Amino acid sequence: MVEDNVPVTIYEPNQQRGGILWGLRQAFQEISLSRHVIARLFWRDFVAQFRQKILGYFWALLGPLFGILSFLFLFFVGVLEPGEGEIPYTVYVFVGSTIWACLPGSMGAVGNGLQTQADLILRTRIPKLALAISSLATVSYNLLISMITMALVLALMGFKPSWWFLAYPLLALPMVLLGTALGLVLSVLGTIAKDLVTFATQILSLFMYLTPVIYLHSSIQNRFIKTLVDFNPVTYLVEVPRSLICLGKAEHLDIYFWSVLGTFVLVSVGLRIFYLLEDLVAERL
Amino acid sequence: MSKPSVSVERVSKKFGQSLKSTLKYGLVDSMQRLVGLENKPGLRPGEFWALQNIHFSLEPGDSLGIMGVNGSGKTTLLRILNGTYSPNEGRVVLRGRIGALIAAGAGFSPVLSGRENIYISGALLGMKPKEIKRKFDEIVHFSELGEFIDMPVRNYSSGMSVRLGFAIAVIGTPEILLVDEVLAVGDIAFQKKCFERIHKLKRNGTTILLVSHSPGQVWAVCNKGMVIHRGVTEGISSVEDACRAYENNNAQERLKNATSATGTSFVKDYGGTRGGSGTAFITGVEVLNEKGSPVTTLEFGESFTLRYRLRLDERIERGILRVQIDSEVHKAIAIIDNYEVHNKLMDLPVGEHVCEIRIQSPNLRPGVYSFSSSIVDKDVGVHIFYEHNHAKILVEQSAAKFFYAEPHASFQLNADYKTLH
Repeated sequence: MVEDNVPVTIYEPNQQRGGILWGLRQAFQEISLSRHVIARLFWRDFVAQFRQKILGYFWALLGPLFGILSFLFLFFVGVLEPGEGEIPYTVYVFVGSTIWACLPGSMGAVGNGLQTQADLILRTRIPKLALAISSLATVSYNLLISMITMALVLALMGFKPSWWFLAYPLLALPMVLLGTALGLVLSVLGTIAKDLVTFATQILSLFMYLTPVIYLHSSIQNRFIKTLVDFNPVTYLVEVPRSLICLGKAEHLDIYFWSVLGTFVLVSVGLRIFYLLEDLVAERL
Repeated sequence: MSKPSVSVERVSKKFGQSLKSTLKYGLVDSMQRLVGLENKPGLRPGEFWALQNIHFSLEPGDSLGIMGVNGSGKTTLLRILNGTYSPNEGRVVLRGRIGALIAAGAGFSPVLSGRENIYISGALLGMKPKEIKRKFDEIVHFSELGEFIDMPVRNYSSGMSVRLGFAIAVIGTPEILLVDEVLAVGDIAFQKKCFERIHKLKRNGTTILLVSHSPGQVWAVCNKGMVIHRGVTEGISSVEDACRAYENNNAQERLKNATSATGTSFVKDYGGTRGGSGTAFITGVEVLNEKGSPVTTLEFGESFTLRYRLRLDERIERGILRVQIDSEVHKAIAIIDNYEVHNKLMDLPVGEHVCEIRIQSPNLRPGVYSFSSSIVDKDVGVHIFYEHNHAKILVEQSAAKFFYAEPHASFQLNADYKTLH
């Protein structure tokens, strides 16, 4: 607020009582005002991560590559050959788990965002939302890195993806948004009850088995589980991007679009909850 | 008339007393809000008011020193002003750009150089990249880091690191500056520079709120003062009155757990706090004011009487009653006994006696004093009875004095000088 060209700051009890649209507008304003801070924090963590290392910034690529070495080993010794679907199984699993990883990655980053920045919350006037989502910059960078590693692995496997591969960051965005929505709620509730983020991470790893990430949808025998998987919207957030990247075509596009829309709605709801509870955070850090 | 730059209107803040109650009420409040219910005002079991009904306002150029003992609520108030905590009741209105010296050194990464950290910390303090670039040389000059600015911060000494953090925070030109005891950083020369910078901001109309334990720091910077005690305040007063009130509150707290400068040394030497031959006892001691009422608090310069009740199981013909007065930091600031003062010995028969020692207009500085007393037989080389720290008094601050200069000293300045006022 500005009064006679002077910025006016007002602090009142539980002032963030707007609705969902108010939350979106407030979030946009806060992120826009804090863009320099978010950029600096990302740059700080990125640079500090690779400073004083022989290979320096190459670790950004080498780290994930070493991570998938075991996967490639299993592939080359022939352990991962449970029969072929339309997409070779190893490619199916690798692309599926890369897309899935965006969900726990963004949920963990945003969910722990406030606790990891506790010092800045207590000492600076940076909006809490900006601090909570500043870690999303790392998620975006990881998204690009995983795209490069995916290209290398697919090349090593001799698999040629479709042109949709180039839209990978966009295709993975709904998973990031879903993780952000969950993370926003966890970031505030997680400072009140410290074990909530850990609990949610465990639940999410179980939830992965209700999503066809490492198994083929057609291989489910149990009808009840098959129904659960069919009704799970995350199924389509993983399957459609994977099919588009690997085959250049996908089924259930209508459900996919509704699910994507759902992630936007969930982010709005997550912001609403964040603003409703954010004033309870600082005194519990 | 200009609007106040800082307006704190009946602000209250409550906290849980334990982690359990904090967790419980945190979850209850969250659930209530999520279903659209208002959180209950007032205290619930296991909560306390960290601040209650704080109300004041400041004009541009005012500087307010906020003092209070540990846990009084002053840091909570500063955090509410900084937007870190939300008040449970009341409202805060701040007009102007806000700077916070609370944030000195915030966000520093030890593996990055001082140069890189200036950009990070500057951004965290709300400076735009262009502004940081413009002020970069000034920050480096103020921090006195020179060629070390490109060295990783983890190789800095603690003083260098603190100087850099302070320089970034203080180089801005806020209209309201929140300071939390960080003035005492670096060596004395750097501290002097920090004070000069604060005074420059003050002259330019910045409203300053300084939270401090140090009345000296508050007195040096502020023209107004406020004491918070257990979350409540009587409001703004002159800085001198606030310093006096703070010292009194502080001394009251110390009085509860006062140990004299004698500390444990006497106890060790004598094998306990109380002892003797077992034939004479001081059964009671009271400090009486001029009206004869028992007191624990005296005004500065107020005469008082120590009334002793003695019990003797054996007669002492050449007896001495001796009292030693200890301050908190110096032992034996005064020793009084009937032999030294009046060159007289007491003949004390078997039975109970009351003795009084009157101390006329003492020049004891404000603070906590304790008394250790003994009964001595001049012909016997040991204490017949002794007891350490068996009475305490608090001498309060005087409204008429501030530095408690010695009234009997003479002052002469053999130089030409002019007064500022």
